[in-house]
Amino acid sequence: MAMKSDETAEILEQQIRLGLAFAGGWVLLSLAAAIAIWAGRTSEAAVGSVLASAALLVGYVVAVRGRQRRLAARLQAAKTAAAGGEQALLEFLHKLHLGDLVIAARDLEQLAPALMRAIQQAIGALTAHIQRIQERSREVAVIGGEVHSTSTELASGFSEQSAAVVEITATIEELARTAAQISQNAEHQAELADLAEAEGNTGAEAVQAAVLGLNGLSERITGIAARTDSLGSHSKEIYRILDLINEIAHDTHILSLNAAIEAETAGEHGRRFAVVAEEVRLLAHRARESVQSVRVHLEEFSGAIRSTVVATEEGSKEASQVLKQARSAQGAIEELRGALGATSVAAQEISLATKEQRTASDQVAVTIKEVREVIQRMADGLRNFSITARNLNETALAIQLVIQAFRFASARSLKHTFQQRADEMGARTSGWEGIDADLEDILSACAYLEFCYLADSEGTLLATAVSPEWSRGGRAPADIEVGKNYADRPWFKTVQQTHSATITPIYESLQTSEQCFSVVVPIISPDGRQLGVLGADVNLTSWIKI
Amino acid sequence: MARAGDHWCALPLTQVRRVMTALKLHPLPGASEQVAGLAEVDGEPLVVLSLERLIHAPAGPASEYPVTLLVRTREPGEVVGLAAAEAGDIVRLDEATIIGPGRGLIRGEARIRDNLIQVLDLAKLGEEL
Amino acid sequence: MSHLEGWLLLRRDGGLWAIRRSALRELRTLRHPPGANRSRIELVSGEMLTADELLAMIPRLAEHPFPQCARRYCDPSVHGLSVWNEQPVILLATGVPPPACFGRTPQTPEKDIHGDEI
Repeated sequence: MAMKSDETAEILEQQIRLGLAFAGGWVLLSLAAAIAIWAGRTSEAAVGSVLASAALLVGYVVAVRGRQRRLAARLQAAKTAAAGGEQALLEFLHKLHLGDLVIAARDLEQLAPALMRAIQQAIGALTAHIQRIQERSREVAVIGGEVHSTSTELASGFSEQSAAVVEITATIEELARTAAQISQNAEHQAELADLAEAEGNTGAEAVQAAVLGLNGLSERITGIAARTDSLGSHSKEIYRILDLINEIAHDTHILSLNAAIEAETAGEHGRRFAVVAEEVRLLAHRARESVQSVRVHLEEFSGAIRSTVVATEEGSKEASQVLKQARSAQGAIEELRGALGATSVAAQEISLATKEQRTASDQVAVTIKEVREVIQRMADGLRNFSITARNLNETALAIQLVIQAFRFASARSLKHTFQQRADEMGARTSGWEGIDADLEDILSACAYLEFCYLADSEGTLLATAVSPEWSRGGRAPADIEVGKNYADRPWFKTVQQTHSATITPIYESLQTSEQCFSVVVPIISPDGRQLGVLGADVNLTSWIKI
Repeated sequence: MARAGDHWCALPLTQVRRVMTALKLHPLPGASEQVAGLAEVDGEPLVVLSLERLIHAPAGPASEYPVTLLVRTREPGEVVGLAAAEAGDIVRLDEATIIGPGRGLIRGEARIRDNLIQVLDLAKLGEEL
Repeated sequence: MSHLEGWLLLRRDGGLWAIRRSALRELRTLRHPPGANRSRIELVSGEMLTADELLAMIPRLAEHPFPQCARRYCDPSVHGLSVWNEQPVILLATGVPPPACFGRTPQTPEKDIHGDEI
């Protein structure tokens, strides 16, 4: 068509040049005629111009007419060729509309070679673009899925963090309340300590007075003890004198005995001496009795002194003990005063520290509240991000499915993969014999398939195969039965209508309850009859990973 | 009268030469328990016997002023000392009041002021008691 | 020595004793036990006496007989009594075994000043 257009343009150009040539000739001729007329040669000019004009005109018509005939012939041929190419182009566009780039690339011979080459190149480029888009969308879907998963986890984590922050906030607030309570108690404790310190001062003064009194008492007792000792010493001296008197009395007694003995020896001459001896003996006896009496009284007196000494000693010991205890109490009171003072200071420091802690706790609580809000915003943002990621993932999946709407020569094209299988089944001359093995083979080759099935041209299910990885016990979904008719199902109807592969929208699998979609292709015989329908359920998650 | 242990004894005044106090006694090694010790009196040695052990008297109260009675034995000029717990009074003792029989150094017993007294016979010193 | 007059004055078991010089044969001062002034006295009769302390050799002592009434209570070797330095002295008889206190065997071997065991 282009080439013919070029020829037509060339022809037209030639006609224009010819026309211009003739026009130029006519102008010259006119000029010559004008000159002739000017020269007075009107008739020659007229004849000449007429003849020249007629010659030019005839020549132009002859030239142009011939060319026009050739042009018309060429135009007719082009018109015929264009009609055939248009049909082929319409066929191509129909296939392209169906997305079947593989079939679309066939039967282009009726198109102009250049057009055919251009179309093939375009299909190739389009196929490459689709594959790239598919690859990128697959990556986006994978990434989107990972991002969604990660962001969901992060959002969950942030939610947990937010909950933890809430707990921390509650704890901080509880801590602040506790600190306030401690501060209050510390203040009260400081007041009590001050009060006790004041009481301690009073007690210390009382103890000091008691110590002074005890010192005085101890001194008086010591004085009494000294005087008692003096009395005791005097009584001892008296005892000694009594012993001496007693001894003298005894000696006197002995003397009197010896005198009596001598008097007895002296006989008559010793009688008066005996009287004297007897008197001396009686004197000694009275002295001894007096001594005994004095000793008795002195015993009583000594007993009293001893009792006094004992009592004084005990009193002194008790006074010393009490003084010791008083001094010990004084020391304890001093220590207590010191401790109370320190307690008061410490309590005030505690109160101050807890107030500061309360302030710090409040600040922490505010900060944590802000943190919680930030975390919450981040969690909300992550959730939104997660939603966006999910949407992105879904968009990528949608793009994948859109891409799968095309059939292109690649293992990543589900339509192409299954159509090839369907074409193999359709080319078989043995009918549906061995179809179960074919379905099992399809499942083993395509790990992302949950379920595979075959229906005849009327929609009756002829065979099924269930992937053991996706099923429980190798059973088909409860809704699927061999022999049951599914002509009313959308997937069957669409294939029946379009006679081409179709991809269903995403739905929830009856087998796994996960997201899946179905790819359904017609089984066409070599003579163009639709023998049946081959379908498979694709697990979305597993397919994305491929 | 003199106390030996728990017994008051009456010694004949005529046989008592002297009553002494605070005699320092020196041991006589090898002697029996009746010998209280040796003493020196006026430059002469004196054997002092224990009156308590001689009459086998039970132990009595502690002696505040023990005495030594210098008594004449039956040997002429012989004097021995009798260690006693204390010296009593000089009493008159009626012979009829002495209740016998005695044993060894103890001649008999008599009652003086409601107290039972051992009446001694110093002539029996040295005899088997 | 047996022809000399006088008395050897010694102490034994707290008592003051006197032995006639004529009855003495030999005197030895004992070194054991250390610190003691013990002496071994050999009599002419062959008896061996041990004295706690030798006090003096005096020419004469006033002899007093031991009271007959108390004779039965003392050792037969007591000859009599005397006084020396206001202390009673027991006079040992010669030819009579001395009291047992003189011949008591010591617990440990006795040695003289030369170190020879006695």
